[in-house]
Formats: sequence, structure tokens, C-alpha cells
Amino acid sequence: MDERLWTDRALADGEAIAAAGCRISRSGTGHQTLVSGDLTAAISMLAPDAPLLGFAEVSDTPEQAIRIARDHALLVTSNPVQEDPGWHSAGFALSDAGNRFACLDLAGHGAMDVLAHGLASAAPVGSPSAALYFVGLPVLVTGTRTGLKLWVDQAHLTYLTGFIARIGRNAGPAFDS
Amino acid sequence: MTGWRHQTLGRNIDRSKPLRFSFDGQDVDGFAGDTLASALIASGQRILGRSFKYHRPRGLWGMGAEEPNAVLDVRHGSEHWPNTRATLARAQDGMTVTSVNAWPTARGDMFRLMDLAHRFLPAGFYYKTFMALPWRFYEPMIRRMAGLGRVDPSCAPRADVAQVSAECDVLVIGAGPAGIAAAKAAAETGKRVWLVEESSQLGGTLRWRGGEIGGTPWQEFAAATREIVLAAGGRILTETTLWGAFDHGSFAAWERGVPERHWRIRSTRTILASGGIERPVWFANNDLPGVMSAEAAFHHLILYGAAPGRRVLLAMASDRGVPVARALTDAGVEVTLVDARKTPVDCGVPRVTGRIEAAHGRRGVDSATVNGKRIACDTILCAGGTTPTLHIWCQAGGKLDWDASRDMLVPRPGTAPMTVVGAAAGVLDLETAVEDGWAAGSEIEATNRPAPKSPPDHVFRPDPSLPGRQWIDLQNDVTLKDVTLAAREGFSSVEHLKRYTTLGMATDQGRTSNFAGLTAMAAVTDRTIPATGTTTYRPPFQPVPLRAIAGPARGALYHAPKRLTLEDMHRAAGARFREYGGWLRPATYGAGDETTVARIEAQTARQSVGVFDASPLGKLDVIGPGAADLLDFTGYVRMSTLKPGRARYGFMLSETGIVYDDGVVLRLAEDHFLVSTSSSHVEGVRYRLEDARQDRIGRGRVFIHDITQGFTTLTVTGPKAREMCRKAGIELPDLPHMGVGQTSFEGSPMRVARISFTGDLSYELSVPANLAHALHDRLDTALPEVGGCWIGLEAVLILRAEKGFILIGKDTDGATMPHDLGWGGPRTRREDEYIGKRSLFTPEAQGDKRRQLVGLRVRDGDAVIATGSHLIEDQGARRSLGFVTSSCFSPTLKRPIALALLENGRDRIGGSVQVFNDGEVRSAEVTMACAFDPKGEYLDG
Repeated sequence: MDERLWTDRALADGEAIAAAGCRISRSGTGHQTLVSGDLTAAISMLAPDAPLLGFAEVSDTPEQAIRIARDHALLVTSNPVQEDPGWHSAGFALSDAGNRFACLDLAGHGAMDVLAHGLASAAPVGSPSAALYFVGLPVLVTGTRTGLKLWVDQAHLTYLTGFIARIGRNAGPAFDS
Repeated sequence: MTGWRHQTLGRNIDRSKPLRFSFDGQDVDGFAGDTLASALIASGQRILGRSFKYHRPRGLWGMGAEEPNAVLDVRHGSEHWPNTRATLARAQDGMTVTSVNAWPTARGDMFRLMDLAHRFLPAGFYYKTFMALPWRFYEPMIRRMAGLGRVDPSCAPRADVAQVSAECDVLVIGAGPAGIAAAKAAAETGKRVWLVEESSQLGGTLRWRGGEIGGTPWQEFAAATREIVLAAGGRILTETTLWGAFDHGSFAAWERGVPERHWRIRSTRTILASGGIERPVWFANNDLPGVMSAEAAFHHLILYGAAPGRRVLLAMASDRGVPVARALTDAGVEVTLVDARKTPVDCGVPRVTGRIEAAHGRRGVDSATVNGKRIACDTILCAGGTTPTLHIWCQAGGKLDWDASRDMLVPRPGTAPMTVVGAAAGVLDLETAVEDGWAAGSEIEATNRPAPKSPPDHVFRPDPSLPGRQWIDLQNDVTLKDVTLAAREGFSSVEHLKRYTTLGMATDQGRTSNFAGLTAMAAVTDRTIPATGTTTYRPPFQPVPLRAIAGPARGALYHAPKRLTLEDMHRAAGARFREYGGWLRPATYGAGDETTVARIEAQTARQSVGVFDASPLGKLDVIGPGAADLLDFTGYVRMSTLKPGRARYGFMLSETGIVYDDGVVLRLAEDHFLVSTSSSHVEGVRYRLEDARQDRIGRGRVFIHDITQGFTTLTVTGPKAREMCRKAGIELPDLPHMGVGQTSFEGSPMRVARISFTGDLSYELSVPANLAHALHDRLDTALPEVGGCWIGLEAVLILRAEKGFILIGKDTDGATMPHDLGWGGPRTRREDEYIGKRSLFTPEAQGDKRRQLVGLRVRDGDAVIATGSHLIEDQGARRSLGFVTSSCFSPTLKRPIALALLENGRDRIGGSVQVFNDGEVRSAEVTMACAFDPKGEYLDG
């Protein structure tokens, strides 16, 4: 392995991969804010219309609070939140997450199949947390009407692009439809 | 030549699709659907390999994973499968198949004379030989002869086996009659059933023995099972080996079909219906080609039309051999039963009461001695009894009990979280096996159990009174005499027996040998079978290629290095990338020798300005009223006294006082800090902060957010850094060294920190990642105007080395404490508690021979010292006093520089040491670690 010779790259806007009965493409990520502490207070103050989402939970609203842990969530909003980063006396901490997460849209009946290729055990259906490890990397998984969204750290996007493309090229469906 | 193809039998083959492959250079004809084994038998090939130690000719024994002899090297196109079982490999047109452990062919093996020396090569002979000469005399020869098969490095295994996780309500392992019944019953209760079968079809032994289940032909029952399992949301995997049982109901299975997949299955309930393996019968020369499992012969005849011979002796001690004999007779084979029972039942097939004492023949069976008389034959089939296949049960922690009435080791109920049914549970009666399977699938108690049988009339055991050699383990060439030898030499424990003789340690995992070895050892040591015990089964159930488990993790997918947002821009600028701290980062820019290019880049940065991508440095927001307390407790340097808008360098120690990471902490507000970590330690530092946050400081008082990847940081460093930023249109706040502020960039906040890792005036500019390209473009446009350039990590490493700035893990090791690096202040001044404090005052920590960070200066030319060189005294005993940690040529100072950890280093400054590497010794002066601008005058530009 000589990393100096690698030419792989991340999935670009407008591109798509077909894998396991599913179409994977880049999705918009909005403005990202990490909040911890009193999530109710944080959401109420920063994005009152945002539902708090667990694993693969579906929401049609552009603003969402994706739950990572008991007291930790990623707020996705259309516009930057109006509060400054730091501690808020309502009982929560706020950080501008910049563009920490990229988002992959998995559209199609095979979305869970794609996920199955990267999980060490069965998908945590019903979990209040959207966080899990996919191919050993931390990701967040929310739902859409047509499949799933995978929120991945920007720095891992190239690797995950390559991995998902490999699913599409070689292995066929995880679960024959 | 004995094997032949029946004209009509062979339900698995398609005679309209002939194929041809080569075996040891000879063409072999077969049909689509054949396995290599069936095609080889049908073509009359008897010698398929040579035994491991004695190079005796060996032929086919079995029909599945238990096959010990027909292990072949298979090539097809560009693919290569070494050590493949002929019984499990599908024949394909154009394959090149060769025997292993034989040269040039199995039939004409040059090493067959080894068998003449068998008296000198018993089990464990190598423990008593190879002593007259030094070991290195023997080693090359032994290495050439040892092992089985060869790997061809030019055939890279495919990296495309999908790794898939799944879950189910009921996992049924094995699709024989009991397994099918269990699957159907469970599916009928609405459960999601996964039925896993190693062969390509459902049915198990029913496929050749035939039979009915509940009055229905077994094929119809199997089809109905398939339908209902799938309708209930389950799945049927054929050609799939379930190879491992792991904790909490997790199983691993390798699906060998198309597509090839590796499954990780978690089940709520598991039913094991893995069947049983036919036992051999033991007599002299029982390893000759032509000696075969009776069940395997039946299997090959019905499924592939491959008959093993024309004149067959069938050794048996139960009625299970009778259907085999009848089928062979119907196919035109002359069969004589050799029935060892005292009161055998007449079944219409010619019969002799007694036993086989020896097989005879040079390259294969041509006769046998039965009751002292010689009988001509070309094949000896052995129906020696059944050994339940319980590997998965034992892997799951299950124990075994000895059942003398069935002459088997059977599962001890309640010792593993699965239900065992069918032959795996020692139930050989079809009706009972089906009933048990049904009950298990339905989760009800089985009823109508037959009364326990009395012990069998006759049981086969290896008999030491018979003259000649009897093979216990065919694949590892272990004989009965080896077992008695082991006992005589004190290796009577079954675990010692295994390791001393290698019985059961081959790739067949002792499927046909463990029971014989166990009973032979019991007899020799006058113990019962339970008292002798069994060895442990471990995964995999049968060999699984590593590529099946590794999946696509190869090359760029082997490991997930992190990638920069600006990677495309760096590549466009000619960057050559390398992995640093888990990130792919530019090492140098442009063509040419990398070392030379790095020096030029460093020199440019020192004289003008250099810009590098510092995004990977960790950025952890620590926020809350308890933030200062947390950092004081987890850090060596107090941060609570840091004023907002300022930054401070510090360390994180482990509890043993060892330096874990270093970095700069920025205080953005009274209750808001930004901790900068080494790029490789982000997760580790975050974990340690989180640990203290939850256990000591309080969950509600402080929170940690990792925002490393949300921002791009470009560092502008050099005497013209300020000018460069101005030309780039960046309005810098007025900051002192180690100050942090904010400005605006493209309508968004940009954090500016005046922190220097190079010793020059430096500005770290951080913007949200979506503005990274804009920032890059601005700086890229301004660079030529100030005579600067992009610099890679190699240049940065030179610049920091000139200043004596450390890299954790390179200039520190697993014993380095902060005072070894010259940071003794907090250790002496801090009175409050912090992680690692107490360890800093142990006798070891206060010793006078600690390795301390120093610089080195050589006086004998421009050659750079090799990193890792040992430091030794000028005179006296050659003892390592430490080693060189960083070394390079300084373009600033125009000479080599180095950093080192040296015993009592600070007291040696001004003195000299010898630098030893690979036989070469040089002399060096010990200096301060900082070789350039020790007063920091360049920090202000």
C-alpha cells in the first residue's frame, strides 16, 4: 500500500453511486451546531421546530436535532443559529460545528442493506441515538421518506465513498430482493 | 483405475454440459455440477495426493469438510485457490488442478521413499533429532519440506467479499431432515428463520438415501419449507459454511456462492442440526487409495453417478451400511458385506461375518485380509459408526457426555445456548430426528421418544493386536503406534496427545481422527472415555480464506486515513502526500528529490513565508462553568489562570506521569476553552477529558465538542507572514505572541491565533470548511507577491526541529515525563491535584539517570545522523545511554541537527557522546535542544 499513489476522492455534489438497490448521493447539510446539556432548552432557544431524532427516524422538516448521546445533539438548521458559541445560562453548551459533517443520501429500498455492509452487528432499530459505527467510523443515521441519510465526518468521506462504491461494484445486494 | 461413471445416475450433474480440467497434467472429464472429487473418482483417478510425512499414496475418503486426503491446488484463469478440498470445490472447465505435497505428481512422487524410513520418523521424532549440527544447517531443508501447498504471490486474492450483518429470530444450522423440520416449524409460528446449509442443496443425507418426512416425499417437504421460511421473512443460505460461534448469539458464516458474502448473524435462538460424520474402520494399511467412507461412496454414486470401484468390500457393524450396499449392487457393483456383528441381519447382499484385518496393494487397494483370508477387491468402504458434528456446540461453550448406548459423545443439555437435534444429537433414526427438529422449531417438548437402546452389538476400535500400521489421523500421518508411543512417553493427556502427535491438528480438524485417538488413548491408559476427555474446538469450523473475512479492506480501503478538505487544491499544486498521524497530508510540493525540496521549502519559510495546512490539529471545545477545573485536573500546566484571548502550551499526562500529548489551549471566554491536540490524539484526548468530566467534574458543569473537522486551518509562518496576510486581504487583529482573536472572512468569523510551531511569526487562520477553498485562493494569490510558497509537513518538521519543539511519540517514549523535557515548573509548584501528579514523585521519576531531551551537533561533516542511533559513552563499556529521536539537515544553520533522549542529558550539555549506528561510530557534542533562535527573537517577525 503506497498512499502516495492514491487517486481516490470523495463523492462530489451531483454524483451518485448505485449499490444494493439504492442510490447514494450528496445531500445538503445546512448549518451545523453541536449542543450539549439541556437539549430541550437548547432546541427551544435555537431551533424550536426541530424534532429530536434517533436512529433512522424520519423528519420532513429542514431543521433537525440529531441525537448523538443522552445530552448531546447535532442541530441542523437552514440559517446560522443566533446565539454565540460557548456556555448558555439555560444550561447548555453550544459550538459552531462548521462543516464537520457531510451528508450522504441513501435513496431506495436497499438503504438498510447498504448499512448492513458496514455494521458489526444488526442495525439498532428503535435506538434513541442516531449514532453508530459504520465500517468502524462514527456516523449519524437519520431517515427520509425514501431511505436514510448518513451524516459522516468530512475527513472520512473519501474512504466511505470508496467503500460504498465497492459495495455497488462487487458484492451485489446484501439481501436479495 | 477403479472408479467409473454410471450411465444414468447422478442427479446433480448435467450431462449436456461436459467439461474438462487437468489434474497433475492429465485431462479429466466431467460434467457441470460435478465437484472435483466426483469428477476425479468417475475418471478413475485413485491417487489424489501424498500423505504429509511419509508421502504414502492417498485417495478420496469423504464427501465434505471431513475429507483428509484430497487437498488440491486449484487455478482457474487468474485465480488461485491453494489447499482446496476436492469435495467442496465445484469443477469448472479449464481448471488446472495439482496435488500438493508431491513432486512432480501424486502418482509419481519423488519423495515416496520416505515411507521406507518410517521407523525413524514416528510422532515427535523431531524432538529427538537435528542435534548433531547447528540448527541453521537443518532449517532451510525443513522449511522447504514443511507445510502444505504453496501460495502464488502473483495471484492477488480478490478484495470483494461483502461483509454483512444480519439478525434473525431463529438460526437453524444444517438443512438435513432435522434442520428442515425445525426451520419449517419455526417459520410456521411466524418466526424469521435463517437456514444455513454447507452444501448446495437442502436435504442432507436424504439426497442420496431418500425417504419421507411425515408421509411426504422429502423433496416436497424441503420445497414447502423453503416457501414458508421465505414467506415469513426468513432466508435460506446454501453453499454457506457457518464457521464460528461467538458470544451473545453471534455467528460467522461464509457464503461461497455468487455473490460471495461473509455474514455476521445474530440470532435470538439457535438450533444446531449439523449432522454427523462417518467413522473409519481401523485395520492395517487403512490409508490406501480405495479405502473410503461408505456414506461418501453412496453420496457420490447417487448425486454424481461416480462409483468408487467394481469389487467392493463394505465393513460395517450396523444396518446403516445396508442401503449403501444395495445401491451399489443395483448400480452393477459387486459388493460383499463384512459385518462385524455377532448376529448380523440378512439383507440379501453377500456377507461375511468378521472383520477386515488388513488392506493390501501398492498404489491402491487390490485385496484385503478378512478373518485371516485374502479376498480380492478394489475398494473398501467403511461404515464405522457416526460421530456427531458438534464443533459449533463446543465453540459456544457446550460440553459433551459419553453415551455408551450409542457409542458417541453427545451434547450435554444446558451447557450451550442452542438446541441440538438430529444426528448431531446422536439421533440417527429419521422419524425421531424429524420429530426432534419439529419440537425444537416449535419450542415444545418432543414426545414419543423411542426407548433407549442397549449398547451396540459391536463397536469399531483401533486394535493394537493387529500387525501392520493403522492410521488414526490420515491428514497428519498419525498411526495407532504413535498414540501408544505418546502414552509410553508420558503424553497421556488428550491435550498432550494432540500436540505431541499432531493428531487432530490438520485442516480437517480431526473430524475422522479425534474419536479414534481418544478411544485409543483411553484403551492404552486403561481409562474410560469420559475420564480421558476431549480437546477443544475453536473457530473456524473449516478453513476460511482470510480474504473472506477481510472483505474489501485492501489498499486504500484497508485503513481509513482522514482526508483534508483542501486535498484537491494541494494536489493541483503538485503536493506529494503521505500519512501523518492518521491523515493524508502534503509531504512536499513539486517534483524532485523530496529531501532537497523539503529543505528548500523550509528555507523559504525562514526567509520569507510558508503556508501549510494545519487542519488536522485537534480542536476540542471545552465549555461550561467547570471547564477550567477540568483542564486543570487533566493537564500538567494550569489553564485556569489563562486569560481570555490568550493561549498556553501544556501537556496531558497519563496516570503514570508519562507525557501522553502536548498542545496549546486557547481561552476564548471565561467558560470556553479550545484545546488543540496532536492530530493523531484527538479521540484519545477527548476520551480522557470525557472520563474526568463524567467522574470528577460533573456532567452538567462542562461539555466537550470535537469540532476538528468542521474547520480548515491554514498557518502562515515566516518573517513576512503579516505582510502576506495583508496582501491576501485578511485584516489581522492585533495580537501578541500566544494571543487569539477573531476577524471576518467572507462574511463569516475567522479565528486567528498567533501560535508558532516553527519559531517564526505565525498566524493560524481557521474558517468553516465551506470557506476553505476561498481562503486557499486568497493566500495562494498573495504567496508569489512575498516570495513565499506552500510548504509540506517535511519542511514543517525541519523548522520545528531547529527550535527543539517535540513531536509526541517521536521525541518522547513510554517513559518520558514532563521534567525530562525541561518542564519541571508545574511539578514543583502545583499544589492541587492533577492526573499523573503522584507518579512524578516516585523514586523512579526522581532518579538521576533519566533520559532527558537534548540536542546533538556532529563535527565530522554534513552527513545527517540516523534517527534511532544509540548514544554511548566516549570510553568504557558500550552501553546505550539513549537514542536519537529526530534528525535532519538544517538549511537555516547549514549543518546537521538532531534531538535525542540522553541519560542525564542536561548535565552533559557541553560534553560529547558517541553516536552508534549499524557499526558506524561518530562523535557529537551535546547541546540545548533549541538550535535556532533560543531567545525567540524571530517570533515577532
